Amino acid sequence: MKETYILFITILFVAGCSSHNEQTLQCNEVNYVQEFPHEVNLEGIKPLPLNLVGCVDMKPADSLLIFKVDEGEYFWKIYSLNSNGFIADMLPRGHGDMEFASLPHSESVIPTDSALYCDFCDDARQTLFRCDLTRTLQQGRLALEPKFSYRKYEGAYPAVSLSDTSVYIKENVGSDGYIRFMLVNGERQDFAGIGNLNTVRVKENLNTLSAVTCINRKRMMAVEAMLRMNQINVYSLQSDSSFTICVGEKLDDVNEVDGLSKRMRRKYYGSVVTYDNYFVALYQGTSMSDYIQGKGKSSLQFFDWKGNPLLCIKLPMVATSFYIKDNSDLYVFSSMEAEEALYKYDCTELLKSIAGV
Amino acid sequence: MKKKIFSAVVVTAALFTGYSAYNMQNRQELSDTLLANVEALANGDESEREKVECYSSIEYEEGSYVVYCSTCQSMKNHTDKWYCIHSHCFRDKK
Repeated sequence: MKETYILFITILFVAGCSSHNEQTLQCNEVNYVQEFPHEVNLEGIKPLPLNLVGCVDMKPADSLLIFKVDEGEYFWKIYSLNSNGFIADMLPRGHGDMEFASLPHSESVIPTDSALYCDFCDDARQTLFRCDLTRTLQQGRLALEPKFSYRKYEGAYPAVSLSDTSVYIKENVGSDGYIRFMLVNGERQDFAGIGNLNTVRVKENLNTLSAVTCINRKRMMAVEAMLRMNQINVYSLQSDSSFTICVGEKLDDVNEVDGLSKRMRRKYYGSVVTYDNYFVALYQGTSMSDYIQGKGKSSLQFFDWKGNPLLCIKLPMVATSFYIKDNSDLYVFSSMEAEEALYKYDCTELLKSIAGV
Repeated sequence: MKKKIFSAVVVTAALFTGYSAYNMQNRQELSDTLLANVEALANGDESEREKVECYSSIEYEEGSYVVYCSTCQSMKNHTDKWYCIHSHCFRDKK
């Protein structure tokens, strides 16, 4: 009789507690990372003497840095790394020809032997433009070419041109999830091997599934570092290969993260940049309330293209974005401090530890 | 006797827990359905408009996404400000 009671009670408790369905977002494989083979702490230094007031983000373009300005006359401020100085304002705000109504997004740099290009998306025109930065700076006039209209894909975010005939699109469907696909000669091609990335949906907040995304054209790989969850999703654009990196012991439960109140939100990744032999994600790993107050310290997590951890650089500040130039100089931009600032570190010796990758 | 009372209390607690969890789920669904119906009736033209959650104060965050109340438009690379509470706006369905 006693056993029957215990069994009955257990069943009832299990039934009572099973209202929460655990769900993880993941690719074909999951690599759990507990530690990095090399870890380094960088010390605080003085920022470079640049006027970055109002800048909200930084995008590297070879020897240039593009600083994005959310409110102002122009959306881009261009600085040269060669002279460490301001060069030009670009993308004027407005509704006229060659003017932009809102801050462009999905920047992607394409260096060639003859010129440096930067693609970006303009939501007002729903067009992916290619800007010839070299010609624009030489002539003092915006040299723009429309590459692709995403009018059919209003939620495209990002849309990245892969070649003259193909475009990568990640699109939000309604307000509960994202789908990723490619357009090749106008024909849609879905990715078959990306786990459940295209099918997981949320009820409360789309940003539970939002990520910073970087496409490596050379390797035809996409890297998505999640804003609100402790994971990075990496997948091939031309094969079924994909994996998820979880820095921790367990992948976050999507439903649990989605159900968190604003006060309990966490901030994980803020930026991701890919290179030929590795990619780097800017990790915050803190509560959102600390993050917005500029409390805590960011770190840069380096991984090879198989998902193995290589190096972790712990920064002395909360960073917004970064750039590693020529495997030597590390530039870190922070918009979270009292004043927007750019820091430069010589990391030549440090980066030698992963040079053989 | 004590054992019987204890067992009865435990069984009652377990039944209550199970029922509460079941009831909460149903209540949420019912509430959402009712709200949707009320809104549809209020809008009149329910097939062409949708009610979306929006924020009146937003800021830049790469990768994030938010609907801005003043324009009722989706803003990419933006999120709601920390202190900002949400409201709703109506816009044409896609």
